[in-house]
Amino acid sequence: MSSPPDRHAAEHALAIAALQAGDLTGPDLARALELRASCPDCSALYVDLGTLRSAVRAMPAPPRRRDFRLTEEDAARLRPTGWRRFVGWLAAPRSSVRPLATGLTTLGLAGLLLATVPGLSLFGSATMLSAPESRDAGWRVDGEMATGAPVETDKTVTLAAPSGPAATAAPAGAPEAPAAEPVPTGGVAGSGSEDYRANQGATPGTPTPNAGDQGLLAGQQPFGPSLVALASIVLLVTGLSLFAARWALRRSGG
Amino acid sequence: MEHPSPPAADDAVPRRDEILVERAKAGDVAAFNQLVEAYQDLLHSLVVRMVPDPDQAADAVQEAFFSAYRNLDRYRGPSFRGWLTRIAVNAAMDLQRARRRRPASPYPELEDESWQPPAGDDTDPERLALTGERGRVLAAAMAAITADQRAAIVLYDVEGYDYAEIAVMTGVSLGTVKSRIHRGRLALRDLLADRMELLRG
Repeated sequence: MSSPPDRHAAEHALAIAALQAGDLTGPDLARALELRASCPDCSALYVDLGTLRSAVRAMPAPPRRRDFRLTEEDAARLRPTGWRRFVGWLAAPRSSVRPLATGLTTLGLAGLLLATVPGLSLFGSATMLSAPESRDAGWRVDGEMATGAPVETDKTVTLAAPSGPAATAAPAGAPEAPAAEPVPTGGVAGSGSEDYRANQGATPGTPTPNAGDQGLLAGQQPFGPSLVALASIVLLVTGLSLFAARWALRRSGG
Repeated sequence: MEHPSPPAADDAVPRRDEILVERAKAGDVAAFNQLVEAYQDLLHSLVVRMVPDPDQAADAVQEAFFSAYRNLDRYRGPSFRGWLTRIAVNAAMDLQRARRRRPASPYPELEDESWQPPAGDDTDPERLALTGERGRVLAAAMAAITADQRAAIVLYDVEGYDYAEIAVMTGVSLGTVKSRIHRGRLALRDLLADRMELLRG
């Protein structure tokens, strides 16, 4: 730590330097001017700082020995286009590849965990719980495809009856079904009305697998986990591929 | 303020720069090289005073031009010269920071006697020798002060930027810029206390 006289001298020197630079105003300026007038060392310092300033300003620079113009190769390297740009982004030290790859890999692993661990099959449970709704949706979609217009809700309920609990409880409802048959338009093959007609011959509660029932069966399958698993695998593979590509490019100096 | 302002650029120069920048942005390397030709001496003379090792200074200038070309799309005006100078100052500062982290042989130019200041029109051998000696002494002292102080002094005294411009370029406050200049000059005076007569001559 500097002693008080040293500190005092340093403060004086700084005041003289500020005075020499023309940075002082008001009381500070008056004090520095008084200091310069009363202290011979301060006065000498003031003169020396002025000399140094002039000398620095006149200081010659060493001549340039290199031509800094860019070659075509430099330009291509610095502003790549197309796949080179993508490769450059992958290999750049501060690119967003690492966080992106980390995020994708984490999401992929988490998704796989959710999809494969039985106790964590959240999506599967949700799908099973909503299966009747899915079945209804499957019929409704078929109806829409057949007629080209939305099917009325009561018809949809009647169509869904054979596979639902109401069908087994009251099979007498089946003969009334033709009255609720949607008007065929003949616009689309494999229509919901054909499905319905096929179902008329089937035992209530044991639907025949046909185009309409595929939606129904799909509703009964726990398709959620498989979709989640598939998406997770895609995310995981993408994330790991980004990591691998970045590692390889940086290793090769790309 | 008694400090001289930077030389005002002719209107034709910024206009030419803007045209060349637009062409360079579109991928015209020759247009960018015209800008390099126009500013490489300016940038070199600035950076070589900030970075004591001439080879490293040249590397910093090259890096500055590379960086300018790479980031040309981010240039929004109004002065290409100012933008380029800021990039060069940053490149020089980055280089010095990197060197502080990985100390190399300190200031090799102190032993380098091969370089002589340009003679100009002066042919008097005694005067030439004096000018050369003065330049070497001053360069050695400049190399011995801190990089931040050196950058501030060069930008203010040699390049003629004002405090506010230097503050923007170096990313520090106005007060810090003033302090660096004052303390840098005092440090130079301490280093050259016994050579002041030579500098006065």
